Amino acid sequence: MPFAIETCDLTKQFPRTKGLRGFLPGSRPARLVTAVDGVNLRVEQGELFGLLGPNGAGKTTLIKLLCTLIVPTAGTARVNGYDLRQEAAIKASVGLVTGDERSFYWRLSGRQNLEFFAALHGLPSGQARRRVQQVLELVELTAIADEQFQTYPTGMRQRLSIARGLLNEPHLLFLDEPTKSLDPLAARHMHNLIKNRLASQEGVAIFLTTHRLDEAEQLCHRVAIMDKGRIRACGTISELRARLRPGEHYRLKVRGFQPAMRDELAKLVSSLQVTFLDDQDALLEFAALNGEEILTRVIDVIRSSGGEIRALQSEAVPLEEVFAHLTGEPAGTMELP
Amino acid sequence: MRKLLAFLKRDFHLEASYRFSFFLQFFCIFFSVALFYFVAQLLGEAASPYLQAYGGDYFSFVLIGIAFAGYFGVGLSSFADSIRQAQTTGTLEAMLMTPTRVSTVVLCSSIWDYLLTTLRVLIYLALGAIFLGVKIGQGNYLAALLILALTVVSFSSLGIIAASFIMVLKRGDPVTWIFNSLFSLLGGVYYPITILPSWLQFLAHFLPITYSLRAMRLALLQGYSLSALAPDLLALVIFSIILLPLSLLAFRYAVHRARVDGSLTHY
Repeated sequence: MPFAIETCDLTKQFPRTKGLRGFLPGSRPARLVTAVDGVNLRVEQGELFGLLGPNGAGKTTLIKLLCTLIVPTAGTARVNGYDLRQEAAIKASVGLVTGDERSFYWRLSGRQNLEFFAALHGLPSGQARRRVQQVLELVELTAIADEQFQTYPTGMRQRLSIARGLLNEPHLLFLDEPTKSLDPLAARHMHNLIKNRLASQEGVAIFLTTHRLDEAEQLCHRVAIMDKGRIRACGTISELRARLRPGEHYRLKVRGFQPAMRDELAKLVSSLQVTFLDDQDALLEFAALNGEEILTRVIDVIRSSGGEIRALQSEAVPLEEVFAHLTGEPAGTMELP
Repeated sequence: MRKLLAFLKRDFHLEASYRFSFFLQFFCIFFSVALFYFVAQLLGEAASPYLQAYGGDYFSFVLIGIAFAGYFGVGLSSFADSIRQAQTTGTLEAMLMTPTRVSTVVLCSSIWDYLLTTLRVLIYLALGAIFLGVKIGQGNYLAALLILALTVVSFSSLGIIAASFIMVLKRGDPVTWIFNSLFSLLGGVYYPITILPSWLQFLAHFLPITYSLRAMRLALLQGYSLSALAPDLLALVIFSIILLPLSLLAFRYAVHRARVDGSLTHY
């Protein structure tokens, strides 16, 4: 079975022209702006894959390349097994959902909009009506399907956009920042729809772009971090965390900590840091690959040396820290819950 | 055909959602017809010497001119307008995400305008023939349909070239501007081109509207046969043969260009 997406050194440089001469055939652009730079990615069929990056990272350009809306400058890609030159075949097998609510006819109803786009997918009228009803039910919009689109609140507009993306029963659905401009409740509803209905129930592969770290963490099997057109890292969230700081991170508050303990513990964990809080208590911090096993041995050493553990805390590396490390962006650039 | 019907249905629903505007455009026809009827009354027999070839009546002459000028306007602007509108409203990208070609989107988007224009032309002719004495009962309708078909092809070709400019430049296509201006001045909509200075008459022969309107008037008002209309028909065929492939090439280049520079849906 082919990959849902497979790219090889995919690159897009936008020519920036100067003056009317730039529009003539064969003219040389004044400069080239690289939006996607040698991207290599593989997304499995049925996978929920996230592309994470700040604004201007090249996420939307990558989606447009894969949807054949723009042509690459270099490199190759296959979508559902089709080469990017097989435009019609790719468009028949994918759906695109953007956060742009202008892409509907505001004075038509939701159903009329969907029937129009179903016809453009080549569905015969009877089949189109049935499919429109199915997708409306899937996104729970049947109750207002015959109201004008302009009366829909933002969350419902976004759900109708998903319904449109599903009209042709795609194997792969591109979701370009699907929760942009949604309130927290609508965003949660959208997350449930994506994870429970689309990915699990419909079995559609999903390629989701977002700049929200919590969204990527909550929804995606794997994520790629993109910045300045390049893929900086790709893997599961835990793999990405491990790249920055291997293993779990622990903090122990110990009463009666003896300096002799430090040498014993240092043999177990090389990253040990000890901070004396007062005369009685010390704070021990360390990271460990085989977390639980090491932790048990650390506790044994402390107890056998007469120490008493007053508090124990374990924490994963914040995804924001992983992102900041990989992109060089200062922490806080990305949205957190 | 299914896609064409989908576009017609879409445009009908959109048009019907602006009912007042829809009916207002037909209401304007009455004023336009009345205006030219009274201008014709003013001119009386004075215009007849210039209009002998068409039967001598200015009102009949100008009615056909303003009625069919609608086709020229639609042919020139509807393709570019449909692209521009889809770009600005954001629906173009959604349409292009289906396996429907850009050319199909553009062509099908203009069909509604052609249908509306046809309805307007019929109202113009009906008003003139029923209430104001325009004699088109003896017209050669078969020839008129053929002229109309060739006119639509020629003007649509110019319109597609205009749409190509819009695809790349987004605003300010020169084709519509130039031809709209030339057609108004030299096309013979409101007066026969024989009243123009000879050098302007010479220029008028490079415009398809000159042949379209002359042939249409001769077919409808004088009932000319196809053989009598052959020179004008031949000129329209030549315009079509040159302009249609040229327009398709220009449009293909414009779409490719827009996909390379990523501006297909920009506006």
